[in-house]
Amino acid sequence: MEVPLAYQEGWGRARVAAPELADRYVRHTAVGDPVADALMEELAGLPETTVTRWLRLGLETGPDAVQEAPDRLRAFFRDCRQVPEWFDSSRVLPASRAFFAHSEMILGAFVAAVLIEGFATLISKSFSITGRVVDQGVRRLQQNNRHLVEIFVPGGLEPGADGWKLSVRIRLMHARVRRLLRESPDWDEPAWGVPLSASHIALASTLFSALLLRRAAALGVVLSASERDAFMVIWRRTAQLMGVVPELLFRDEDGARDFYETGMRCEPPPGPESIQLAHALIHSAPIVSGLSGAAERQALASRIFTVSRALIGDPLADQLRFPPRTTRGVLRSLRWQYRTGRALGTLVPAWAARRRQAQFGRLLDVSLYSERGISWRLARHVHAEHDPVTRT
Amino acid sequence: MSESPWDLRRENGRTVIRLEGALDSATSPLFGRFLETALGADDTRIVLEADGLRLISSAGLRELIRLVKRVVPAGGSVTLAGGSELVVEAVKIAGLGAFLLAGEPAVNAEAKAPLWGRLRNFFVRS
Repeated sequence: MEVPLAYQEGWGRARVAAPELADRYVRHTAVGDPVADALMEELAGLPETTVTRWLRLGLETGPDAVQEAPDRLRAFFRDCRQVPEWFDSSRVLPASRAFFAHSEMILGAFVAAVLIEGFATLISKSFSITGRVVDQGVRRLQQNNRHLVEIFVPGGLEPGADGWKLSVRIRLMHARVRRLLRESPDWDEPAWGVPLSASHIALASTLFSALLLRRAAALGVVLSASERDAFMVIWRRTAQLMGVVPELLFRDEDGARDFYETGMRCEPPPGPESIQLAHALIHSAPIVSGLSGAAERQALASRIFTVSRALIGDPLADQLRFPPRTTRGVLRSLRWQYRTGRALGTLVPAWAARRRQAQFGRLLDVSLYSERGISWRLARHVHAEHDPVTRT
Repeated sequence: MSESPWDLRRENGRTVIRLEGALDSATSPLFGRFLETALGADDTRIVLEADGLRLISSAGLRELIRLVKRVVPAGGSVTLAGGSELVVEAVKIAGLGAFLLAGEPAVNAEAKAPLWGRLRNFFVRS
């Protein structure tokens, strides 16, 4: 097995605890998304306006709306609409209810911990080279928030629903950017593996699911076993739509946790790109929150650095060059505040109802919406600054 | 979408808007513009006939919130009649159940339980 240079040391460490999983992880750093990559190969050279139109019609209306499109594309549209027998939108409603009941803390854990931990891997290379987080950090964060919201809205993963569409769009965008990066002199495949590799997509799906549950719990979010199970099913379906290859698709929370623990051991330590992206993300969050004053933004960013350090731990925070802070009592205080608020809601249901409405409204405020709907225009250039800013 | 999937009729002092298909990122901007142009100051009792509404996304919920904020504070009402299980759940999750769902209590069943029961349930879950 050819092991990309960057993974050799970590792979050796990871094999001690989980040799088969470590081998599978590293093997798939040399793999992209075979189905979507073949599709991008076939669409290469066709007029972009045509491709955009096909994607919009095929995904918004259905494969029959694009009879003139290549068979491979129409087959892709049909396959995306196949719902696996283990997924039922009605059965995962407990997770939808739980997500929106705890959305502020879950989103907080997502931004302050999970996204940053994801960027602490070689995932950061792709985003840094393309500039699609550094240059467009605010927009990217709003897009991530919107995606998270839509997959948890009841029915959001039904074929044709917004969560379904956004998940498939992510898959297609990854395939396009993967192709652009592989053609770019900026990408060193013998050292780093395939850009946006199968392992990275799978790793992200496990971080956004199992690790997110863990980090949200640290902030005081308590979910029942059935809510956790349903949460993982929603993310499993989302991961499938995002193109996670079958050999790496997690089955449940335990499997997802084993995968991300092994994956994170295989990954090299965070480099300059990880540091850059983590800082860009934290400094984007106050802007996304709607703060306009520089002092207010700085204060919130400072707070996020502290909470993030408490969640991800001092070793990683130091590697990412977070400001040194004491985190003693930070999480305990946050949990206490959150649970006190929840207890008040139990005692005063009308207040809880108003709080829920306000919380949902804030969720909409930090997500990206466009009057023109979802953009199906794929990246045309490896560097974002040479691509016009896209809509949703 | 080549034409508006919604029709509006006025009857018995109510303004009834029929919803079909999905209220999502593709249709919600159009729906918002439709409401802006179709509704007047006299449209204070609005019924959204939603038997044909299969799905709603956060984009659709956003338009419903705008509609509620426009009509309810002025003393009007907006009611959702029908809608799939998923649509009704989405409306509840957004905190719009008390406004839109006819017969939906302002507080949920658990909240109607005695205080001691609610506190016990809270600590058991914690």
